[in-house]
Amino acid sequence: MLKKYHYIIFLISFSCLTLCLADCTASSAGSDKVIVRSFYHWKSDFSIDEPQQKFLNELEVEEIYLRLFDVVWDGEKDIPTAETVIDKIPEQNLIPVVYLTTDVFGNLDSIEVADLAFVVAMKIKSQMKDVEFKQVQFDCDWMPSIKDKYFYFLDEMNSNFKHKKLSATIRLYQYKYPDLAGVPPVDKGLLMYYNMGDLTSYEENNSILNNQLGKQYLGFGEYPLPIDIALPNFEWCAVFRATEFVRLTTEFEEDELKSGSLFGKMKEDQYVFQKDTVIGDFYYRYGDVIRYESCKKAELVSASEELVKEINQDTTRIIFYDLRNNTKDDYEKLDAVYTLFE
Amino acid sequence: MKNWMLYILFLSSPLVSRSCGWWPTGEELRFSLFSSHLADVPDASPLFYSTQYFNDYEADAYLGPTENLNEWYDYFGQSVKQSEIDELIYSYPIGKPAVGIEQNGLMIHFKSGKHLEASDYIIFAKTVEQAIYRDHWSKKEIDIEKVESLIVYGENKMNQTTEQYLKLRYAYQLVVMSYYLNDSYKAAYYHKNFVMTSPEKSVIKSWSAFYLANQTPGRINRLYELSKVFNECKSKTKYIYNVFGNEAAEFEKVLELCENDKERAVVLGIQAFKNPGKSLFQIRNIIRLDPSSELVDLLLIREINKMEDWYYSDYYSSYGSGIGQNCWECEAFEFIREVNFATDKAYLKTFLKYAEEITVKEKELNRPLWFTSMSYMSNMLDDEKKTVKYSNLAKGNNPSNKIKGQIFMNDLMTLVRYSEEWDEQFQTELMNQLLEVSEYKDEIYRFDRFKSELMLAISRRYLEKGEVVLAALFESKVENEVTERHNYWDRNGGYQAFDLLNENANSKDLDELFELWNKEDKTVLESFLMSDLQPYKWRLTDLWATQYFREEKLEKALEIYETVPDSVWQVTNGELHYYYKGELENDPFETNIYGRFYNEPSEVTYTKPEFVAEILRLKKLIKANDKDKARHAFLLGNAYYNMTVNGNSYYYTEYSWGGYRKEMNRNQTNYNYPHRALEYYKMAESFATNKAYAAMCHRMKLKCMSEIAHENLDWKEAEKQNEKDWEAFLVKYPNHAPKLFNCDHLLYYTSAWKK
Repeated sequence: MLKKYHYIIFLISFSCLTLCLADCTASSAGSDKVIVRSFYHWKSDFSIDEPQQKFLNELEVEEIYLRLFDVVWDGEKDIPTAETVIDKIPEQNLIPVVYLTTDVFGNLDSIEVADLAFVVAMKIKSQMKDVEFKQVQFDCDWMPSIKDKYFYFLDEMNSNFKHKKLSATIRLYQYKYPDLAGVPPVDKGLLMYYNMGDLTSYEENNSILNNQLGKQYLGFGEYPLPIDIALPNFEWCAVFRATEFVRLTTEFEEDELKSGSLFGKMKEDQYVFQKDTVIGDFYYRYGDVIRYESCKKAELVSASEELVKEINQDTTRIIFYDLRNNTKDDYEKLDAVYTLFE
Repeated sequence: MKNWMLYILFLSSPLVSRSCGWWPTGEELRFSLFSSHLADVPDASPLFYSTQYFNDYEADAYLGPTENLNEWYDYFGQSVKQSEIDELIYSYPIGKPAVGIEQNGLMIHFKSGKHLEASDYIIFAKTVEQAIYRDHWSKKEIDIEKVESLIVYGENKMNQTTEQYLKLRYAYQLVVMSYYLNDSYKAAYYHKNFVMTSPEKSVIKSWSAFYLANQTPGRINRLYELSKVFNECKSKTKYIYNVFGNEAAEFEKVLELCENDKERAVVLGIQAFKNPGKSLFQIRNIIRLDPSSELVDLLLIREINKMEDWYYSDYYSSYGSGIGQNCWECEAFEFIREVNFATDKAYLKTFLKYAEEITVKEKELNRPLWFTSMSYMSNMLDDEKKTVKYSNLAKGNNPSNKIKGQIFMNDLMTLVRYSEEWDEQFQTELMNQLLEVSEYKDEIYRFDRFKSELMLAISRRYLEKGEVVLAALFESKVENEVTERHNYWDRNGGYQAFDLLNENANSKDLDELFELWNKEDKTVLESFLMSDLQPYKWRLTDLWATQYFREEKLEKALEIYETVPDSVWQVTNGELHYYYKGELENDPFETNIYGRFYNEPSEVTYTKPEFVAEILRLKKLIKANDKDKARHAFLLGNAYYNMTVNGNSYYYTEYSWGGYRKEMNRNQTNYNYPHRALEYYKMAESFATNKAYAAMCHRMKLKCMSEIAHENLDWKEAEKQNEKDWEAFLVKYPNHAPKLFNCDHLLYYTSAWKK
């Protein structure tokens, strides 16, 4: 009886000690959270020039997620497109990213999915043959109908990249509803905190970053995978005709919209064509409305304040989408946002 | 301003019709009755006008380029079908078992010992194709060794054969293989010495030139060389189109390299094909430089397709208006639409004027095509005289079958548009013409879509004339390819006919429809037009009764409703395109203080005939001076209020909540504003036997008045009016009004009639 009593005391003491240690460990980890400053590079021409390299170094960027190629369905078969050629290896670590359209998985059976995984892996290895890399990322907006095939593809990728970490992009709804959307079989998820609004809606103000909407997807408990976070830093224009969405374009700069005689200002970030005009391959009509969407510092700061609460791990990558020639003009904004996580 | 409240509701409701994702877009919304095929250049379809880049072009009938298949067809003495030549050359893989190959006409032709040299060449060409093939995933690279041995083999065969037709083709394969081996010198050698010296007149020479052009160093030089091929082989136009950019400066540089006007005309042609806007100035210049250019025909057709798109698409495709009419700036957008329409009309007139002038001056133009275009443009401009004049001129200029098809369509539209009668003679003529349309199946670009668009155009013409039933009947013939573009959801013609009637027909129109429905000796045209409506019988009968209900002709409404089988009202699965039971799930007599948002079905429900019967019963009781007439009048007030946009039972008289298409003509005042309810609440108050119930009636009266105030007054004035009305209420019923501010005492007051 006495023995049993001692044993219980021992168990209680041990449990308390363990809890105490665990708590201490957690506290310690809390103060030592590592934030890895990163960027996406999504264009096909990958050439980091000197000023850009300087900018990346000054901003203490450690990693570049480099989109290597897309896999699309051409109506008959899966094909790689928009391939990126690595001209010069930058000082930052490169992480290859492959974007796969959903119809690829919609059109393949499981044997073909395994074949696809093999050729994709071979292509990644071939394109990255001169580059050291520790992680591979896959980007696909999977949905229930293709989830199993996509996850099988990722499983196959695990076999193809046994000594590398695998990550996959997670859209907001997939993040909020892991039970419904499923959790990809990878080492880490990448929460894409952008493109959350309704781009095609005339009533929308900013479909890229709308924190009111974004918040609705956060705070639902810990996601089953450790997560990195991607934030937007890009701009585009949504064009509407009689309130109907017509197209998305990046051919207008904000200054051009503000000062050009071709446009009249309707309200903040909304401009209207003053005459019929052909620009590029599109015929803009008098009255077409352009909604200029961008990522302002205040919005990014607000987003970061919410997202900080979601991080519950030692190392997190904060990745801005995406790195372009003019990104260096945003140094102050980007540094401020990175700092918020650190 | 009077509809401001509706706008708020539209904007705040998930029921607002809005686009789902990216569909429908581009080509799905484009309306066209002018066939893109009229120039009769089969491989030129990538050059047709499209709102959607190349994605939605109709694939040519064959896998291979028609311009090559035609040459093979002639080579085999037209004894083997083009489709079978296409199948053997472009479909069957080499060296692998091919199902059905034994039955292929060309295979049989070869097996019977005919044209064996050609058989050898085809096997050679397919082997070349396989050797130079490079897999997208790099699973297979170009088989250099094999290509090199094929060059030796091909050169021998070229020298051995005595047939110039095959000699040229072997030489062409040598150019292609040298190109893929990056041996530009050899490619040029074969091209110059064997391809270009061939006495054969063949598109293969241009194909060879295409490879030579592609290996030209320097972008501008390369573009110039490619431009020289552009008009010669249509199967390469898509590629060449894509290589060119949109920069005017680049076109200028290429133009500087051109050696003659023909070459300049082609470069301007490429620039014009890249222009999604008005291209008259480019067409003008091309005609000045080379009036005989085949590109002129394609550009003319393309320009008319553009004008149709700008002029007609928005009009025929209601898509978008559902949102347009619900926006704050809708007046501004209507203004923009008018300005753009006027601009387009002015351009159309300018273009027609130019066509009239140039067809007089320039004899080398394709006159049947130009006159057909001018007839069509005149029709767009509502000029009957010119439409007929140019149609006759086109007919008198020996038109091709394709152009004849278009002229036929123009004439059919003219017949519908300008004939006032709907007598038997006209019907016979129209029916005959509609039957004849199918004869042009192979002549018209995307015939099925074209036919549906024709039906839609006829439907709209009758709608413009106020012939709602005819408009609906023709609309029922509009098939899915167009309806998907025309309406929000995937609905067939019968359903769209229902929509059109719902939005435009009065009870007299629907009487007319059912008179025709029940007519025993229908004309052929009437039978044809009614043939797709049978599945919609009860849905249309319901609409017929409902229209009487809307018009407050209740006895007639009930009479018609009672012809509908009871099972219809119990439908919960949409099999009649309506969830009758599911939609009519609230108590329409319920007192509704707050609004329309009812989530839970009520215990008391009514089918449509039950509801109308109950309204009639209550009205009779009032008329009979029943002791509870105040209560009866109050319930009628509730019923009429609940049938408004803010009520819980708007499905009794409407088929959806919210806006309709822009061609909607039906008066919806009693759906939008509770005028009828107001009258019954007033009546109830006057009949009330105690102050409490009178106050309750007055309270509901105020709710109606508050909504009606916004019909004619602006927001501030309406609010002021409402405040005054409330003050008067407080003065009139000081002991009750404060308790009726919200619904805390609702149960007490609605039962007060019993006191």
